[in-house]
Amino acid sequence: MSILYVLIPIAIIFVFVAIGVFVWAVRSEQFEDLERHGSDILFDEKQNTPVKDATKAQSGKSAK
Amino acid sequence: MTDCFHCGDPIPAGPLRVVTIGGNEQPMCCPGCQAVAQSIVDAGLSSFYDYRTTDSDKTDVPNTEQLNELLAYDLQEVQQEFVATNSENHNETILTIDGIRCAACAWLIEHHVGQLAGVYKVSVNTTTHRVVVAWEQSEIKLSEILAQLRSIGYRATPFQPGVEEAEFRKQYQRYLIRLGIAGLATMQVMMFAIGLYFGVFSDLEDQFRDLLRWTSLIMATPVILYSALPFYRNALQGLKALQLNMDLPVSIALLLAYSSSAYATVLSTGEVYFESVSMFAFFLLLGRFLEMKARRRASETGSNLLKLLPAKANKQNQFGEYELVAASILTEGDLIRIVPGETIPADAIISTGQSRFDESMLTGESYPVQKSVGETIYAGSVNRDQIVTGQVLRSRNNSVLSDVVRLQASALQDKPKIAHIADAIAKWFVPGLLIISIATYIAWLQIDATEAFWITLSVLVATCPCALSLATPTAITCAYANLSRLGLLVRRGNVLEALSRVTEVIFDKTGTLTEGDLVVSTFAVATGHSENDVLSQAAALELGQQHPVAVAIMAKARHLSLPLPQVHDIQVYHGDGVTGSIEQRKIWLGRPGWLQENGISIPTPWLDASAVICFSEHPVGAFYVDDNLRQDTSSALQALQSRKIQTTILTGDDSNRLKKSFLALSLKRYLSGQRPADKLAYIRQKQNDGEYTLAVGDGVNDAPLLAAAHCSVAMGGGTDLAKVSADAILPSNRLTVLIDALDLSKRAMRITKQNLAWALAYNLCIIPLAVSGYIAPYFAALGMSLSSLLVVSNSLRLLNRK
Repeated sequence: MSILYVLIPIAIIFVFVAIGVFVWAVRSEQFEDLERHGSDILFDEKQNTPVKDATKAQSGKSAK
Repeated sequence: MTDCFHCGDPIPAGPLRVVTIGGNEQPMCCPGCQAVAQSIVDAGLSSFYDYRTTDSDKTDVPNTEQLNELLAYDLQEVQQEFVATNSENHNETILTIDGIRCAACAWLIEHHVGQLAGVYKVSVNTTTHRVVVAWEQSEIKLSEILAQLRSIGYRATPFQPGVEEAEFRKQYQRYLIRLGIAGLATMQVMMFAIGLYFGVFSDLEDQFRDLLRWTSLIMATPVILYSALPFYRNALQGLKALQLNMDLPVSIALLLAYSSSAYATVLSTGEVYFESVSMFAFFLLLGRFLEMKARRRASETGSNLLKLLPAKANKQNQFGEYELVAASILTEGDLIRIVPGETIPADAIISTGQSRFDESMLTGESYPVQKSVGETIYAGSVNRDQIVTGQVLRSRNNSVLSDVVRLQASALQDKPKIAHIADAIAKWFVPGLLIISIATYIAWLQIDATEAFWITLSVLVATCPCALSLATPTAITCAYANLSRLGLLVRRGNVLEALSRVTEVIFDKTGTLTEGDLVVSTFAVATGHSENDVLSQAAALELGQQHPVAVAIMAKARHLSLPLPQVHDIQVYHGDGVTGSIEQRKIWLGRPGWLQENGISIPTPWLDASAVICFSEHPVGAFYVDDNLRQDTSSALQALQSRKIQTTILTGDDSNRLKKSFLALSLKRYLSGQRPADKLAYIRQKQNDGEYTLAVGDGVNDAPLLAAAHCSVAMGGGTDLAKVSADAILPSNRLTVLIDALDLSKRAMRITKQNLAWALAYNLCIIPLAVSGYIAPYFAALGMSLSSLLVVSNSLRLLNRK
């Protein structure tokens, strides 16, 4: 049972990491538009017109 | 494929329009869809059609005038209101977009606008129907971006974000973080708690029990010290205002249970309630978060409706030419030119020309008013007929329009408050709970002093008004969701409680109960003539006229798509009528009085017609032009009557033309000639008599009324000022939605009361058990969760249609 002394702190660390990830996600507005970005992966980039600069190629980039 | 490939409408008869998409010819229903589809194909974005999940919206081809309207958005003074400079020194703004249906729309917009030279960022949010655009002023104009969006079928407009919107957004994020932390931590604490419960029934060695308690303490700390902060703040605010609100016992229970559990952990005695407090905080936060989210969504959708229409003017510069300027810079003495269809930018005196002005938004008068040189025209009214020039009388912020705005602002400050049911219960529940806890403590001190504190704590935790605090927010959230599905956008909280109590509805007339446009309401024809024949000749005669009667007659002919005959020798008698000849026959069309002056005898029943048409001096038809009732006006008024709700019409219109038809609809009161201040006085009088009022309106002149009512709704076609003043907006203009909303609000209140009753009953049952010391911590947690779940699932019933 004394393995608990190791396992429980590890579990706690995991939770704090999860909280950190969650806070980051909220801060970077990952939850602002839930309807759309799921289908972004299905859309091709436009063919036969060179994209002007790299930032525009990422059509799923959220506004900052 | 017989439907339009773009919008899904049926294809009308006639020559087929097609657009070649991906190698196949696809049918189109109208020039609008055709143009949009063509520009999507030309931009190489035809795969939009493979991705989209629903049909697109129908749009019309913008004419040059509409595209010129967009130019006003390029004015410096106009842009000040909505354009900011971002970190890369580009102009950046947020636009609201109509017609976004699915992710493919977002993809299309981003690709189409993104490839324009000079656009540096474009990002669409499909949830809020907004797009962020950043562009370089020297390379591309905003009007060009807007026109490009038009060409692919989306109308984008700058808008006026609500004052509370930025605040909502920050609050929303904070709540989400608090909620996430509370959720994750609660799950952990619950895991350790299972171990502790297990230890209650078997024997758990003390060292492991203490380990589990310590870890629970670590996990519960962020919940209590960070997530639950809003409750403590509200409780303190309540105390400062000498009010006991629901957050007070919540805060006391949370802090007391947490600190005594911490004490028990450190000293290794007593009971711990970590799982109860974290779960409790999590549930409560969830309730508040849902409510917050519903309000935020509603306020965003509401803001999207407050489109910024640039107040522009054509002002004469020093070279005597007219140039486009922002209306805000106009000062007294400036010369301005107003073309037909344009909104008057400032109060002015006409210096040349004469025209009719539509002042319905300002006064409620449904007929345009004829004005000529020397008369005053008011900011906010619309020029109907001809070009006039005028001299600005006073700057915009002293105009009649801004007087109404001031009246509205003061009315908003005195808006009567509606008390929350939950607050009323809290008033006696909270002191009762505190008294019982203190009494328990004192009683147990006599019986068993060591147990006294723990039992008192279990009273506080077990009776913690979790379900009680969830009762209202969950019901409100579900009702809001249902309301927006019905088509009523709630802008301010408390609409539901106010709606559920309404005893009198006060309507504006023009544009609210009526369509707000003049149409041919009755068309009578002399025997022996065909309606269509008479109508087509009348319309041919009126072609190109701007007179409201002429416009109505032409609209009717266009609606029936009648072919128009050739007319020769048209003579226009301004304000009286028109003559012309069709197939060698002289046709007269005009006021009955004017025709009589010209020696034509008019049959008596036609003497009050708006216009009579004569074929070579024989009257053959009469047109009655009026502002028609909306389709659902009568059913809405009857529904109100059957619900025993009083109805009143306050209209600025001086005439009583529609009074008869309204009184026939069992209406109680019809007051005409009401100025904004009169409307305000009326509603204040009613409120003093103890009536709960709902006001419905659309014009600038209704703004003070809307602001003063317990609850108010602005029509979607109304002015911005009306929308800003109202608590809710009705984008569809369908009055029957109001009736559904009234019914829903009553249901929401019923369900809220059930929730409160259940929560109180549960608390009353558990108090004796807790007082006598029978409630173990795990039971307190279990009861709390189950009763909260019951309340939430009861509220979810409000999502159903009926």
